[in-house]
Amino acid sequence: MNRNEDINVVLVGNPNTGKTSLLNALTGMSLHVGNWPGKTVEKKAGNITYKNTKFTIVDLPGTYSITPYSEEEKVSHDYLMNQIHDVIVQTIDVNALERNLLMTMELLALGKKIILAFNFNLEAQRRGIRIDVPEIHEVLQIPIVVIEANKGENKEELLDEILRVAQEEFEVPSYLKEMLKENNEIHHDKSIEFFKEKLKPYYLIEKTIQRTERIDGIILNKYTAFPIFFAVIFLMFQVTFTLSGPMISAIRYIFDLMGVGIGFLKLPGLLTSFLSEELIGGLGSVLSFTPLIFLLFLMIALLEDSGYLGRTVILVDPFFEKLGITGRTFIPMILGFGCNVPVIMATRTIKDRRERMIAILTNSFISCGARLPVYLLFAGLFFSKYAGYIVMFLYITGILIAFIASLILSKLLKNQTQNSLIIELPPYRKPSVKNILKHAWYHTKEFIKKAGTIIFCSVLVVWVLASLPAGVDYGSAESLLGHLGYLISSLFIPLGFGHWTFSVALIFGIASKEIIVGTLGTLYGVGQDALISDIPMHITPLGALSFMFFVLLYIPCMATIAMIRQESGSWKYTVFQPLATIVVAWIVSFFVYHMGHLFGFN
Amino acid sequence: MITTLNLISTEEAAIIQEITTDHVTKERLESLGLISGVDIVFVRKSPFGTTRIYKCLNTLVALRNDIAEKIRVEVPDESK
Repeated sequence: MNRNEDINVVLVGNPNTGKTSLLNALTGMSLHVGNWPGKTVEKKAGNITYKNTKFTIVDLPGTYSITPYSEEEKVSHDYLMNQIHDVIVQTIDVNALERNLLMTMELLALGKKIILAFNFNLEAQRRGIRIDVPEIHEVLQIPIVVIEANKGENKEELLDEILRVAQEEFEVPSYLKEMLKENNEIHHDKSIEFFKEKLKPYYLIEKTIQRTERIDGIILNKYTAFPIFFAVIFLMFQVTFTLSGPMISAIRYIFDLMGVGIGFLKLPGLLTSFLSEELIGGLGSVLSFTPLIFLLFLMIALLEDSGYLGRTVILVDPFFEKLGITGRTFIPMILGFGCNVPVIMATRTIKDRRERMIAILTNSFISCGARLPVYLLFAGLFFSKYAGYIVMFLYITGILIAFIASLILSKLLKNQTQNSLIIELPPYRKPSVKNILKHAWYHTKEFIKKAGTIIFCSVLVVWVLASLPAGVDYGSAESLLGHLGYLISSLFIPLGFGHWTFSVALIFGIASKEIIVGTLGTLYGVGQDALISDIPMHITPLGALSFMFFVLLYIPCMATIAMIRQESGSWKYTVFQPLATIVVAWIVSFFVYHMGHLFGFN
Repeated sequence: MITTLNLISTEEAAIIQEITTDHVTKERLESLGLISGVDIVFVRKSPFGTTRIYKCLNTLVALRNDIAEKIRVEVPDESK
């Protein structure tokens, strides 16, 4: 038998209709996740060979409509209008059939072949909804396949149907004519009328009080909502950052050992330092992110798929409303305490582009875990008894600055629509372990691919600067980096840390914040312990305080900048963010240093 | 009785009459099922009362009150 022609399938559907599960079930491990070219919207695609035919399956973003208003709807609309595809498969949550069919009518109006994949049928049964699929098929005149996406049930039937439909001619159902406006868009109220008249008899809802509403009675109750909320957030933090800690240390340790191992090979000095600092160091810092990113995406997927994420949004919304944004910003924002890098990817849960950009640009003010060692060293050294308060104060300052920045940006970035909160609260559902693991894995892979190169390059630049001219000690005063440190150190004299070593440490800190303390150690030619006696020779306690504020607020690490580039899709923002943070850091440190003087500290 | 969506009481059913937001917001509301002629029920307030959760077309939608007050609804008289 000849190989049939390839079939291009587009997967569309409302959010929370099991579209991703279906995609996972259909494409298995061939699935790859990325961004739409030039867009900041996630693209997933995969393929499968079935009955000698290659199916390419492209997943469009989950949207409620294809009228091109939001960025995601634009992606969907443009794809459906301009790209070649044979069949559209729309996942339908039969629990909300009437709402889901609104989009079906929009798709039909485009004149495209479409198959409906009826999902969550078992849940509908439990919820007391009786659906007569053959009759509905009769009325709609569109092929319907009943699936259970989480379990991968009936996926062969769906593929068979796709094969069949792909070879058939398409005829627009006659009922559609009455729903069309002059510009070929759908009159939604006509679509609803159609459902009421023609389909209602075959779609009966027997129970009124639903499980989800009962659970909401606890989750959103005045008295229990916030205790549950804080418990969930706490647990999420514990899992993400406590579990990833040892794994990250282990990875770092292995790479450190490899670096030391290189030393025994007796290679020429420059080569040794290239291999150990650049190659192994760079690889190590990319890979050391992976446990964190994996766990973080695991937790976010869990929150999203269980239905709880939407509830957190409305719990914290009143507060964010005052900043000109919505509660959707909250989860990404607090995860920044662990690490800003994955958070910037995780802002994909914020569906409004303007709000998402604000979240992306302000997240680096949230003090990530990598900055903590700097605080611990300096606060411990100069403010022993009050170190804890100082660190807490730094964290709070970070949050405040992030809020102020959000407020300013929300005034600068205008929307053409009313800024408000409109959000569906999906039914509570048991997440599928397989889907969550896959979700986390794909995003980790994506991170390694995207951020990997940029981290690698930034480590390379630092290595070159620290190693040249040939023969100097790595990162010493005589190296290019040392000279650069001298050059910019005068900028920091008004801030109280004008010694060149701090400038060099800050430059290293752009590659990654973890190495700031280590760099100071190297520069003074001493280990961690002797640092304690050396640092006070170069900086006053007030200067140290100002330095901590600077580290809190200045340029994010290269990995974060790389993600800002990828997720904002804009070079303007990618350049603006680091520059703006430097200015903010300088002003705040200046203020801290001089206020300190005024109050008689030094 | 004609009123706005933010003013109906819990478990009270109403029928959407008109959405007076800007066009894009209206489109968004419509794609979520808030379309004139559709039945809508107020389910509960959020703990601080700034958002309200409604049930419409068998789905739950949360709206800030500033949106809800721009949705005119009719509450059928049950007195007789």
